[in-house]
Amino acid sequence: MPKTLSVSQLNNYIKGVFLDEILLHNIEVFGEITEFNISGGNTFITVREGDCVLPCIKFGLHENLPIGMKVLLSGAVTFYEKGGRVSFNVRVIKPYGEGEDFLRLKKLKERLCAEGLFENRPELPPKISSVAVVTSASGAVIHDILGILKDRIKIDVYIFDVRVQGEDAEKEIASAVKTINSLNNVDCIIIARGGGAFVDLNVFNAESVARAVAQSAIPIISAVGHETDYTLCDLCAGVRAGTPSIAAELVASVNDALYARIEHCIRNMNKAVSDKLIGAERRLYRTCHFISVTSERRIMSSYNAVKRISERMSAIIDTKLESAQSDVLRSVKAVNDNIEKLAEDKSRRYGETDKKLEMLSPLKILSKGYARIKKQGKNIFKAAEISESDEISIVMSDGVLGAKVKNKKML
Amino acid sequence: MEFEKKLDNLEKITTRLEDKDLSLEEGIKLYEEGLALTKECLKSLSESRGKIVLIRKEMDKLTEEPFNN
Repeated sequence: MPKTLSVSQLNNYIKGVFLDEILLHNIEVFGEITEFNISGGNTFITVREGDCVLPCIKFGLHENLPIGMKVLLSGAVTFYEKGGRVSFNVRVIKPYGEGEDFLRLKKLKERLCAEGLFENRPELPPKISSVAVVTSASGAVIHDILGILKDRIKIDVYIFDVRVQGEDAEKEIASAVKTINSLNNVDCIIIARGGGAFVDLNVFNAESVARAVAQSAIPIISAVGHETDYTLCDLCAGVRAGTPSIAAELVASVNDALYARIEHCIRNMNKAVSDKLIGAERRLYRTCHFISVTSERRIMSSYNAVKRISERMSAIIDTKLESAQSDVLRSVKAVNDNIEKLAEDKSRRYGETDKKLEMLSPLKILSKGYARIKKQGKNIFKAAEISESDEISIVMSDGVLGAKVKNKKML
Repeated sequence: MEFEKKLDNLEKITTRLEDKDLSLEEGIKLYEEGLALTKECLKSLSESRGKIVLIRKEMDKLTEEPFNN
């Protein structure tokens, strides 16, 4: 018949079992660090060995330890009744086993550092048109990178498909970096791999990879593992990105920054020219207004002067016209008077002449008994012009007589 | 002229344009220079075709093929 207990009863019972087990009070356990966090002033570590994991706590702060590091932990196993879980209370942490690899890596790092491989690495260029990505073409990492690059900028991407873990990975990565440098047709290189265990990242701690990266004349962004993982590849690269996505963001941000600078220039140039145009427009307006006002005054002044002159001229002309009209009238009258007088004179003189003419008229003379002699229509004034037997005409005042000269006697 | 130099010149032109003592005539001349440089810079930025190429090394020979994302 099973015993029925509450959760707290059972958890307290289990805690008692752990406390009773003396062996668990002072024990050493080794494993590879898979998680390392500091929270609430305490250090939380998860170690793994094979398929098994063990959550550990070290009260207080502890220096950061890399994921993948193999450690030997000394402490006690306890059971927390409230959380219902087993925890290893760590007193001391030491490198263990492959911790020797860790020490070896530390020495290699110191040697490469002394050689200056971590210094004066080329930083990202001011403009990126093409990028080579050294990674596995079959992994998720390349899709993360392309997703960001394609969304943000138009850039040529050359994917150098390499293994990122295993025996040949080291050789392939170093070779790819050298090949890209010999082709020299990209602006920068991204070496990328997703997160993994310490041993998985060993490839990027290989001396050949570190040296290939350090010798690259083309700027390299190393994006290996997670943000907490630092590899020799990271240290030899000019730029280190916490993750492959961050590496892609860095590349995109280079050109984003250029677009931003160009936009800033366009905006400021437009504003500067616009301000100048507005300023010139205002000056022009003020000048035009001044000219307008001044001209109006001058025009009005000139108009008034002209008007005054015109009025004076008009008055003068009127006076002159009146005077001229009077003169004309006087002249006309004088002419008329003269004409009348002349006509009278003429008339009188005609009368006198008429009388004289009348007095001198041959008819008047003929009427006094005198006659005129014509021969063949011509007036005859002397007897010598007539011969005997000539037929002549005797013109009287009241008629003409035909006659024939019977004789002639000269006086 | 290299892209960086062009962009530097563009920024210098922008700074000079912001000088209040610069005449409108000079300003417009500089503005035109600035616009020409802007076009060149933008053109230079859009030179890439956005191609994605997969390169593999097989038997010490490089092979290229389009990458299907």
